[in-house]
Amino acid sequence: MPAPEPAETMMTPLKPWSNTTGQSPRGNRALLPWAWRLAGLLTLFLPLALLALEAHRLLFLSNQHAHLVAKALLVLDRGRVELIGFVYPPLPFLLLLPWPHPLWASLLAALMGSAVAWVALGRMVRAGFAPWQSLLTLGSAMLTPAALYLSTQALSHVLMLLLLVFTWFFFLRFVCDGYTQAGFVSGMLLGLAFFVNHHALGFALGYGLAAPFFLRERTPGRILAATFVLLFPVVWAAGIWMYVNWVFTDNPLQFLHHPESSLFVYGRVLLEEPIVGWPLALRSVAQDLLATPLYPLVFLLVLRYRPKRIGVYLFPLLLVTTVRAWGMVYEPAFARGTLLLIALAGVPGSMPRAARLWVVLGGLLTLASSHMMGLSGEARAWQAVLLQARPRAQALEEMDIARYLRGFPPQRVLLDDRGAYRLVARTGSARPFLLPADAAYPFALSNPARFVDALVVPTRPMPHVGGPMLNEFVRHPPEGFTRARAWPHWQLYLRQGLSLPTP
Amino acid sequence: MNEPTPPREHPSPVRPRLGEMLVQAGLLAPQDLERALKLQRRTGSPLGQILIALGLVRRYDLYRFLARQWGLPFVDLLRIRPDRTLARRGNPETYLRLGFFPVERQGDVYTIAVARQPDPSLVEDIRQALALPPYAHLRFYVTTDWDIEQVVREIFHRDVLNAAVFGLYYRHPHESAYTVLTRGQFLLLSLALLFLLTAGIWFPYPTLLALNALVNLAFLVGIVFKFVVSLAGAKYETMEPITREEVASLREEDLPRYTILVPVYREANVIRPLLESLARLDYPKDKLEILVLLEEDDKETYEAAKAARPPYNVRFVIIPDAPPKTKPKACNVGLFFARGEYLVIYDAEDRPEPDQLKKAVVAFRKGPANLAVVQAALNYYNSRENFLTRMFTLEYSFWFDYMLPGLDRLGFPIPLGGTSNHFRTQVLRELGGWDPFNVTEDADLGIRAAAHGYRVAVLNSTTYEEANSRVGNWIRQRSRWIKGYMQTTLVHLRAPMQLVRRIGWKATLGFLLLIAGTPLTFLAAPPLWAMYVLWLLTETRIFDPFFPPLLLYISLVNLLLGNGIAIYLNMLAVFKRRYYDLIPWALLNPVYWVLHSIAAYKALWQLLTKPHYWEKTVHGISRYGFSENGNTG
Repeated sequence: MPAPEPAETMMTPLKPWSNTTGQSPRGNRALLPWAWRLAGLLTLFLPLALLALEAHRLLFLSNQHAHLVAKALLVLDRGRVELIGFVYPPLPFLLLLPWPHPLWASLLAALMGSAVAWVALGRMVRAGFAPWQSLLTLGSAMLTPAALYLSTQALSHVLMLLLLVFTWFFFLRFVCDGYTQAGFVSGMLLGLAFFVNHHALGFALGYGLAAPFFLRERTPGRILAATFVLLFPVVWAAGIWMYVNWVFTDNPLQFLHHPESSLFVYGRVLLEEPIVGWPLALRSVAQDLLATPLYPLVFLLVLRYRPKRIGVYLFPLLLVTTVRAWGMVYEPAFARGTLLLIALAGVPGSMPRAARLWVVLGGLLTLASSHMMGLSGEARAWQAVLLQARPRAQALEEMDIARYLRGFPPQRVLLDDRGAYRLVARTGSARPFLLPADAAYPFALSNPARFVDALVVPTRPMPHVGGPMLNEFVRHPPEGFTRARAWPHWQLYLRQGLSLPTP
Repeated sequence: MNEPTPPREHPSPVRPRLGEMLVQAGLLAPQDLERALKLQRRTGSPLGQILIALGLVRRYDLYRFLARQWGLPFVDLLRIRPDRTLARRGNPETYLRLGFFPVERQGDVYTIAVARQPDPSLVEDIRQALALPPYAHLRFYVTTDWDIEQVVREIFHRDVLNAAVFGLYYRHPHESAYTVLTRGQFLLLSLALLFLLTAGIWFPYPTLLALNALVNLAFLVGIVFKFVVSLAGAKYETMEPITREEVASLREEDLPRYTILVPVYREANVIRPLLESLARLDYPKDKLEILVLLEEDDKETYEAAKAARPPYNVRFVIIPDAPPKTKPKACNVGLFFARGEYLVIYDAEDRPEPDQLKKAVVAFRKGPANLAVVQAALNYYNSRENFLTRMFTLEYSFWFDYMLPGLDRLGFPIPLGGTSNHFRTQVLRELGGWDPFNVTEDADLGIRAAAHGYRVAVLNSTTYEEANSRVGNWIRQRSRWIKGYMQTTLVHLRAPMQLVRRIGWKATLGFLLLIAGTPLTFLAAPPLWAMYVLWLLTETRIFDPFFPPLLLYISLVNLLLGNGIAIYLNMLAVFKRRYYDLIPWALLNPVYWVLHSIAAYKALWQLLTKPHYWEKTVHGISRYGFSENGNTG
């Protein structure tokens, strides 16, 4: 029996330049499918890569990338991969191990971003959009600040989006068409997504709840089985990570609290705009919706043409709102990227032509609106750097500090990378530093003169980082040390009698 | 004098019709004749065969009248004593194949009992088979085909037994598990053990580290392999290699003769349901021969089989009581007497789907010329009886519905299941039949077929069996299977490079991972688990030196990801058959694996102490029955 033709999946080869009958308007000039895909991907990748390069030239480095790069440098220098027990999310971190460099992180993000765009483009073509409509809509979405930011400065987030969109298509193949293999692939993708972002659990729950609405065979047994298939991997992945954390840190929930990647707002050290509580959560979500009018527009189309899917469509919005209300972090750029992706992936396939034009319009409106509203927090800073074509003062400061730190011998600079990971990333090596991951760190903290030549501390105490002893050093240097250099955010103490290495 | 001797009886001027003769003699009712003739038009089989298969006429009576029709005298071969010396001039396979038996010699006159009408070609074959001089005269008597078989069994008792037990060993000794370890293997293993012991004493840390690394790497590779294969199998989940339409398009007259072998031993309680189940097979009865293989010392089952009053296409073959007392030996005896173009094995508790034989016929006709075996899926009708039967069902569903199709698709050799293997009979004979010394003769045969350039394919049909519902019984059965896997590994690795040359690197690797990997996995698991549990409970650091960073990571991957993937993959099992309620039980696989490990150690012990011992599984202990529409469990 031939397999039924899938309605909305990504299993068929992508021919973005073909019309719906599958005939190329260029005639019969046959290119291999993989060549098409590669060409399309490159076309989308190059502009993002150039943007990443430009941001790198302007010394912009996102906190997320700095964190990942710093941890990768640490692991490579110390030769102990179990330090990933201290790192969440582990998968983006592993991707950086071959070359722990901020540029590599950005290029990887660009690659992921172009892959997401490619998948979305293919989806639109299969949904019956003409090439110009698909390109215009997708182009508008890609040119929004959130999409550009995610695709160059937020490897974890864009990887998460890629995994989510792949999961969606395999999920449909599983529940609508009954392909068991697709169900297991979607489950494993969700499991993998947990190693990229905490919210994979939430999304997995959404998929699990949505499954009964899509299943052809809506029996209790089938629903139970579908739920197991979709949820088991992500729950197991969470269990794995808690176990790894427990083994290496004695705290199974350690990964939730890292100052850069903490799930909770209160745990994030450098988070510029914390959102907690329902009023702030709702307000922030409203802003996100204003910045992505494509999402509410597609919502109306889904309501009209695919009402069964409305629950699934709204789930991400509900998730973002709820996690924010409960004090968990869902960055604005990530939220907007999520909504954009859901809108593009959720466009109903069976729509009249006129309705498709509304989608195009929604894309253009999103482009305009997103630029008008702008981003917030670190993403806003990124925008400013690019628009002004000038590095931030903070970046220059970090580079200056890094120049000095590179010259120190191995493990002679005491530094708490939970707050100072940016400095480690800027330095390009973890070798000079004695860090909390090192066994000697607590001893060095209580008696720095015996263990290290220098300390780098912030100019103001950081909550959740460093502890009372390090924060004590914020006010004055430890015994045997003097303040050698000071910057607006950092100060370098040097052991008496030593001179700073030449940068 | 060289002319074929005509029959002594004067041929009748007009040949009477068999059916009419039987009706006139009052042995057959006219309406029964009509029924048989109708069937004959449909199937094209000889009328006599149909009459016997339908149980309308006794075999003895039929042949008496055939004798009359052919103008020949009839002889009851069991009442006279054929000349054994004369009989030994030919070989028993020829007698069975051609349907004749030499009775006596008086001067130049040879009396031959035949079960078919003599024609010039048969006469010539007989002369050649017995190496008769040109002046020899042949005198024919008619007898039944069963009588010929019976006499062959009696006179060639030893030969049949020898062939069944040592046939493979004599033809291909390197393919027989009669020898557990060849000299080379023994030497190699001894050296390896010695080396390990020495290294363990002189360099304990590096030795244990190396062993640990090897075991963990093997686990990792094994789980990745199963992952890839099962998902490949899942991709083709909805495909039906043989469709209902193809089966329906078969014409009965084109169907070949099919042999079913049913080895039974101490199964008096299941023989009747078995025969009833086989009677439900959708295949012309006149083209189906069912050989029930009964051990000589099993009077109870024999009496139960007789009491079940089986139809006429069922014959009992008594297996001589001699070691090794194994199922494959019995099947080899059955193979000797099989006359079907295709052959299948069913166990006593099996309930095959009615159209399975027809599907197999289609599969063979559609398949390539080197397709030797098709394997139907096995599953259980008492799957929900208890924890054990549920886990067993998950395991089998995963294996037959996903792993075997995956192996098939990816071009790996397929280890056969214990029953429902359908063979081209001639190819089976060429391969040497089953190895009576291998307690998983099925797995061995699958690999042997691949090594000889034959293919094994998967059939989309199911045979339902009784899942073991008692732990002790389960461990006995599983230990035999694991022991058999060990034997199969040892046999086929006697000349590893030859195996690679025959089947290629990929297939060899697949064989190693599946057949060798299974017992090794279950043997290696308990020490690793013991270390882990000890560490978990006591936080001891004594194992730290044996887990340097890289090895620690691999071990963690095995422990965390490997087990998770194994449990997750087992959930695949429920989908094809819609056994959705079983899915939560997949989480209990680690408990099930403990039983596997117990069985593995028992298997290892038996391999060393009694390698050819067949651990008998008790059947018929389930509380659940089987209904016609499938699983009642």
